[in-house]
Amino acid sequence: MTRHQFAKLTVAMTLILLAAGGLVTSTDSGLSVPDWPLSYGTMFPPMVGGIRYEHTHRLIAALVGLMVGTLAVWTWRADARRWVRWLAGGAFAAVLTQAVLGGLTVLWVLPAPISIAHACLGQLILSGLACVALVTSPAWARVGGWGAGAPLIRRRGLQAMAALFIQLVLGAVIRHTGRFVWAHAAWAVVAIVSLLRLAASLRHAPELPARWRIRASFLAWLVVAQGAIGVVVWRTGAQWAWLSAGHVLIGAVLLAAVCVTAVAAHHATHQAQIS
Amino acid sequence: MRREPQYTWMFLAGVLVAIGCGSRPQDAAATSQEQGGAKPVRLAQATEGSGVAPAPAGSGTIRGTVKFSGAQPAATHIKMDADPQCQLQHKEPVSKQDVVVNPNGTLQHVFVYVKSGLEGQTFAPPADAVVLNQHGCMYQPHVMGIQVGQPLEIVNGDATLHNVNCKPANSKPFNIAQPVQGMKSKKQFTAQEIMVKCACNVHPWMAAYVGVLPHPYFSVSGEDGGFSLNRLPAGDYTVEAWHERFGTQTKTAHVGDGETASVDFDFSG
Repeated sequence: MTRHQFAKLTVAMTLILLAAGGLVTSTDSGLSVPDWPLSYGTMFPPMVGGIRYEHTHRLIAALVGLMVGTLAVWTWRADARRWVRWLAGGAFAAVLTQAVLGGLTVLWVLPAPISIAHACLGQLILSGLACVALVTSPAWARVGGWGAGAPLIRRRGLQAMAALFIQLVLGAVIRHTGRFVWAHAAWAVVAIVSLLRLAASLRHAPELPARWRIRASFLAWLVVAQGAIGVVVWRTGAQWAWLSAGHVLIGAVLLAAVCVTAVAAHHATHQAQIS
Repeated sequence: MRREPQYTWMFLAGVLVAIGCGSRPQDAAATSQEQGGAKPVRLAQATEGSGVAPAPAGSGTIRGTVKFSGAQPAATHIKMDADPQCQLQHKEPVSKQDVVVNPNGTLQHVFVYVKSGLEGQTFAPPADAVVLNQHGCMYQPHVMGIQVGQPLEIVNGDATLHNVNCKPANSKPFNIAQPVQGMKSKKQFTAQEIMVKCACNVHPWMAAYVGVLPHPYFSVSGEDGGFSLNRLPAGDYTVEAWHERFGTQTKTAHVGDGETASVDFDFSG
């Protein structure tokens, strides 16, 4: 297995972890296991009721922690680029911080600021790991040929990242306090517009490789789906746990996709300037 | 890109070490038991005293009934299949406890208490604990009262594990594990509050409501819809009735020494 393949596997596992975490919140199972780091004093409590969600989340988190740790050590020893080493090392440090935040949410009975930070950091970790997967890929060396559209894509990518991050925080506030639903709904317009603008700039960059234009279409459809799911979750009072968790997961995928696009566009712009 | 299998092996070794570190559930459960009591707790034991105030000074009584008018909500059955141990304890389907209308048209699980009229008086909390039992994966009682500073004994009467997550706004919240049948934990509320919700996140249908008061004049309507606030000092009182779905209603009453005042409430669906 190559490091890039392992990084992609880690990203996939982190997505599953985020889905599991979303289900914990959506089913109100976060406090079904009152102790931490063990669960009812053991690593394998009976998997009944809410414990199924909470403990599964913990087990997947432990696995992801090991994977990110392995990826960090591997990158630190195998990658000559200093910034990539720090990116992978930073991802591991963030995972450790995330574990502590998760523990504190349990031990301090879901304090809203900690729970919100836990929800947001999880998605940032996914984005960071997706970037590690990008910069360790063989395609990274070929990103340079994006042509004149790269700076515009970079700018719109950064705008979309900022819009999505604010939307992520607002979403986490709703899920952990039940407040500011209107702000999340209103800001969704900004987030959707910024994402569609990014997708449009990707679609209309003539020198961009075909796979990036396909990704742009995927991004646009995903944004539309996310908006529709958000409306359904809102109007039904988040009564379907799977749908709410899906909304969280798609939000995480969008943020990671935009982050990867912005980093690639930055690299392409930089490469163009050098050449 | 060069393949470097040693890191993959390193990761797999880490997974194996993590799995190997797990302790046995029964050992852990035994160490986390707070107050012994391995014997199962009988239901009769557990409900003693809950929602019933001890007798302080005074000889007045406020007595009444909580009636229910309007359309009776259809009983909603609880799905307990998330935990086979819960299902095993019930031969018949179990209904939700949020709205229980008695055959005589009265409403159960209404917390009735003296809201005002006792200002300036202090009442020492009883030393006896009020018991909140978990039996058949349901809280017993569903609604109860307790004095500020009075011990609350939480009992796991089930052969399955529970967490007890109480979220008072005015006292310190707690979330405790009760993995062993017969396990008992003692807690206290340090400030008045109407009402404190306690819930089990393992079994999301489980909820109990605790009225925390600085005095002992409270009661919960039962199977006949009646309530009684006993041994009140003579005076004028505001009495409030609280229901988890239908909110609150307030009435006033005057009680003289040795007298019984009648107060009825009427909630509608």
